Amino acid sequence: MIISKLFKKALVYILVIFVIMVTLSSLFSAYILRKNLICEYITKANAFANSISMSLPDVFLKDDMALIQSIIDQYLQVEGVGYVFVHDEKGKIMAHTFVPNIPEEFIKHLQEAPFYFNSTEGEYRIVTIKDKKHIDIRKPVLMGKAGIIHIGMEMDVINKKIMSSLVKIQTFNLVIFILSVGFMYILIERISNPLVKLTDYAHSLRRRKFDVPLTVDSDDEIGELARTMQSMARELASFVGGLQRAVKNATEELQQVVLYMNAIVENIADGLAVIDESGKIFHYNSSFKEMFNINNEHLIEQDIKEIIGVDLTENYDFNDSSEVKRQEFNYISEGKFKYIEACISSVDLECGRNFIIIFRDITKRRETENKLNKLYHEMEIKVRQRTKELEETNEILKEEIKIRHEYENMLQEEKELFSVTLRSIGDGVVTTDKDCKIVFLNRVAEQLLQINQDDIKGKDFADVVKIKDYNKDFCPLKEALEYGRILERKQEVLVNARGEELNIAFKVAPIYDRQSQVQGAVMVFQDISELMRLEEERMRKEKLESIGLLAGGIAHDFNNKLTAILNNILMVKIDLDTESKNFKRLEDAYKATLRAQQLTQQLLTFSKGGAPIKETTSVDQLIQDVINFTLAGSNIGREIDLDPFLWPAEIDPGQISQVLENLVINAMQAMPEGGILRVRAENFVLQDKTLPLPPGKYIRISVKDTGSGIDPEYMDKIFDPYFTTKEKGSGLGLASAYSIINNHDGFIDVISEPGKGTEFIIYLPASDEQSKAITRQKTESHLTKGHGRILVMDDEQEILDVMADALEFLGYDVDLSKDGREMLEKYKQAMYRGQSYDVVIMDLTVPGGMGGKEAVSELLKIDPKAKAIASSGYSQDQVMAKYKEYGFVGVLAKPYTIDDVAQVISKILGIA
Amino acid sequence: MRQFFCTIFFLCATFWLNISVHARDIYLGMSGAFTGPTRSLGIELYRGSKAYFDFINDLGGINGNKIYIKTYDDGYNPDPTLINTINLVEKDKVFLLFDYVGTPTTTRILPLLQKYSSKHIYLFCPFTGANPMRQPPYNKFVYNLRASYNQEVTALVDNFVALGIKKIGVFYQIDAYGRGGWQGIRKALHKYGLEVEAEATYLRGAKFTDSFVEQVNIFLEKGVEAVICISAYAAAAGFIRDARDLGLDVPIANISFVDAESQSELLFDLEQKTGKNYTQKLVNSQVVPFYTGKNLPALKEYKMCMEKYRPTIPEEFDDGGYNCKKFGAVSFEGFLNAKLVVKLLQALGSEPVRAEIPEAMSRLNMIDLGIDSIVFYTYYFQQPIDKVYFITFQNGQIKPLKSFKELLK
Repeated sequence: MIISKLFKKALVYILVIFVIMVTLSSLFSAYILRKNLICEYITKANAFANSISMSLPDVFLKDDMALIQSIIDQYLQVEGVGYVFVHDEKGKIMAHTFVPNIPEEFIKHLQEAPFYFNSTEGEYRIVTIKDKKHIDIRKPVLMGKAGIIHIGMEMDVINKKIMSSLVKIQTFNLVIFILSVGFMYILIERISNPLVKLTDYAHSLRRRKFDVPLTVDSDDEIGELARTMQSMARELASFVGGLQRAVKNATEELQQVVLYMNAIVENIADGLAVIDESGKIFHYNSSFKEMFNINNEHLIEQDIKEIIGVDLTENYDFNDSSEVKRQEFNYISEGKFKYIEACISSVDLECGRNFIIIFRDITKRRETENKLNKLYHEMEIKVRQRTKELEETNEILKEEIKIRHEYENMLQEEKELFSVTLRSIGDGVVTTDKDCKIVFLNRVAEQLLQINQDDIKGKDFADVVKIKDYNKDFCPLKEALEYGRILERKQEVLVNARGEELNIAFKVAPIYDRQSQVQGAVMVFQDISELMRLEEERMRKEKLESIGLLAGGIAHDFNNKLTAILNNILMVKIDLDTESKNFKRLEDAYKATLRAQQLTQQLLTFSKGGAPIKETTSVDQLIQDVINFTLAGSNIGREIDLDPFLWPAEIDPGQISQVLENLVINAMQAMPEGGILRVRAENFVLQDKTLPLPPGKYIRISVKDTGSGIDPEYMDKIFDPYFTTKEKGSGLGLASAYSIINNHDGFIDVISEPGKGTEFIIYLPASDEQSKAITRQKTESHLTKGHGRILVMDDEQEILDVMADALEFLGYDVDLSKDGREMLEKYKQAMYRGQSYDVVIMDLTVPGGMGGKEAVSELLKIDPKAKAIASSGYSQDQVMAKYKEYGFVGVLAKPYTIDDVAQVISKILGIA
Repeated sequence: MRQFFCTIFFLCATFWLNISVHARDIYLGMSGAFTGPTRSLGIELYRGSKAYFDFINDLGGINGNKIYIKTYDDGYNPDPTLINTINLVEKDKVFLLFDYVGTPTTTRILPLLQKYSSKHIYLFCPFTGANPMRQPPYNKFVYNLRASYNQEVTALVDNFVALGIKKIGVFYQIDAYGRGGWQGIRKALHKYGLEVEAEATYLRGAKFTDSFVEQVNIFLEKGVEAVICISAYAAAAGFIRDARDLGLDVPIANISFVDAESQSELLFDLEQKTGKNYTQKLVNSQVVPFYTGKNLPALKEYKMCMEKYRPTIPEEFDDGGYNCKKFGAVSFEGFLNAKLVVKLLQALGSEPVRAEIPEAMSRLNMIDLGIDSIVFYTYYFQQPIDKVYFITFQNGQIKPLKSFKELLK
């Protein structure tokens, strides 16, 4: 068991070595890992800091700390990052990730290491925060001007990683070591025994004892090895004998080869000589002697230099035995000049280095070569000359091409600029050549003339488009070409390719070339139809305003008279028997007066005297009421399309009802045989200047009939007062509609085609306020009687008289006054007596005296509870529209009837 | 030739490219906290909006189109918000994004909105007052309804300084939300030549049960006279608890991201268990009027809708552990958000097209949502609600704060 003892000894050594290796490798690995991890963490932190400072420096300049915080928060998710801290160049905090606050140690670290950056590179230091070491990497953003980023990498994480890696590696090593030792022990024990026997047998063989027996008989590799060694011993014995025989045979064969080689050398045509390093010949053939014309029989040991006159080994590289060197030289033999080529190679033999030299006569070949060289040289000179000429020509051509390219580019740019300019302008542009043939049209011209440039290019302008001057066709382009002058017109009629007539303004000018020769003409024109329409609209508005002013004045006086007439008639009617003749006459007079009242009312609506009494109204309800009310019982079909989300509008519901009533009545009269009335209301946002209204939110109401339409010659006049085509028409319906819509800051438009129908379109400004539901109030016809004391103030004696009768009839005590002062005096006296008036009715306008507007404020000073009703012939008066703001509790618009008076007073006094 | 061209006028033409979305039902995409410590925000915001949409859908929708909210939970974490937004836009193809909750979450998706600018994806009414959605380059993709955190903290600082308080501490969440608020307070104090006296931070996701003793001690050491919290409601309540327990008896203010109802629930519960008073000297700033306050039209409508429809938590997020609140500031804000979107959809007509949203918002002009503030949006300028309201807590009740002097009693 010697092997076993040795093995145990070896095992102890291996164990000791293993422990030393494990300890050293652990220390080394820990060192390398730590170094690498620190390096990796610094690189990582630098990369984060770079990604912020390089990619997002602008974020730091925006003064948006939240954004900086959201960026640095992301890096906190990365393994190893302990904190991120950003401050500005003055050291003020911009953002950080410390919880619950910035540690003292860190603040100290910042104070100890002031700003030392002088490059964009970051630096790092080790900082201990709450007993934990951190690598603090600092990175300036924009050289520190935008801020400085600190990223802290936790060292704890590095140490943990190292420990974990070491434990894993060494555990693995230990397991492998134990397994290997165990396995080796078993294996060596098994194979050591036969190996000893084999070693002994090998020792015998070394002593040439081939017949010693070997007793290993196992069938594994060692048994196989033993048997192989035994057969090897036998083969060795026979091999030694065979070797001795082979040496003898080889010697004989060598001698034959030498003879054979000598015969070949002797018979080749080239000369051959073998020399040693000193140039002594020790072998040659007969061709060598012939080539150099040597007669000497014995050349062995002679110097070859002396024979051929050249030292051929002089330039030979003695270090490279494989080199084959060629050399040419001249030789003169019997007066003949010869070129000889020598091919030198070397052979290293036991006795030293030999050179084998083969000589060839190349005299003829060399002469032919010389002739060829001469020819080639001449040819080359000619080629060079030609090439130079070609290069010069080429340069000239290149220069020409370059100039040409520059001109072409300039031309192209100019062409593109003209083309884009022409296409972009808002006016039509047409150019012709000097024969008035069309050369160019821009896009606007194509649209206005209704033609395509490709279709009419080259045609005569006058053949395509007609321009009428005093109803005569003329071609301004031709005139410009003929007289060579600029032609300008503010308004002409142009008939385009489709035969449509357009109102245009144009300017035509001839086009001259550099030699001041007329090359063609250009026409720039503009469609002014819309401009003309707006101008007509403006004139119409002015006309109506002046008529309105006049009408308003007349209507005021007229209303006063009508009030007196109406109420007198009513008073007389009350006293009369309904069956009497006079009652019927009075009834007729009453109706006629009522019609006069309506007429005055319409006159007033387009007078400039006042504003509509506006309230926020839902227009859809109003439209439905008017249409249903007006069309009731007619043979007209209706299609009403109202936007369910129609904006409310700030309007006088009574006035707008009147407008719609007028439009519906007009439509009905236009369709005596029946037809369809289409009413549509929708929200409309005006953004441009296509209508004579400021941009904003509007309600667009369209009333369209299928009637006879309006004759184009009347279209300009339909909104004029007293213009009518109907037998019974007053001529005030559309005029008042126009005036009402105008007073509402709206716009009314009309589109009509004879035979097809007419469409009136109304635009009313929309309101943002909530609307009030409007219901059409039906007037009660019975008189409400009451009791109380009423004071009436009016400058018209007729009014005072009739009011006294009417109010007494209604059961009230009445007092009268001529102006504001008298009224106030009477009110004071009544109060003093303790018999205050319940209601005061006062006229707003008292020529030369105190009117209702001033009087009401004085009255309210005397008695803040006083109830005053305003009355006026100017129903559009500002005070009438906003009576509550002035202190009134109700209004009576002249002319009023006894019914109106009864209703208003009973409402104020709360009589049912 | 050149002379001739000089006499001609130039005109420009503009083309609009519209991308149409044809659908009878309109889906709005919402990503918010439906789980986790801030889930009451996501849930209540959703419920407020849902109540109004239910009401509108009952009336037949907008031009026949019904409105629904497609919801995803992000648990108040930025990464899920990003994934949710991509899903909402690319998979669910929602009409617009709506009711997002929180600053760090919403801030993260802003670059995505820029990427989707060709698809005309707009974010409406996020529940955050942070600056990035109110500044270039992202303000053109976001329509805000609420006042900014800056306005809220400035109002708080102004009121505190008016009371003579100069040593103000800031308790804030260490993320974009907290940092934005912190910066706002710092700027507001600079107006008076003051600095933040002390500051303490905490990590997003902190629970009511967590300890805030460390943070309270920082304020105690510096002797602050008032604390403004930029936090979520659970952390705010936990901080108030530890502050009062350790004797930090100064006014403590919270901003609108703190759901006052959830905060008060936690503190009132604690008061009942311990018998101590934790709700004294507290003030919360709000961006919508207090729901038991003035008789505003929108409040009447809100109460009617909440009582009639009683909106519930989306089924997939309902684990039975959350009690929906009858009324509250967060659901009222959700309700107003929905009103704004309905106004937009009305303006867009029966076939709403995303590309027309900016034009439609601009066209709406002065928008009256039924509260004491008018909002309007143009292409270049947004005027969201610009009022800040204050509430306080007393006898287990939330009530409007009439004067900051009440906090000194």
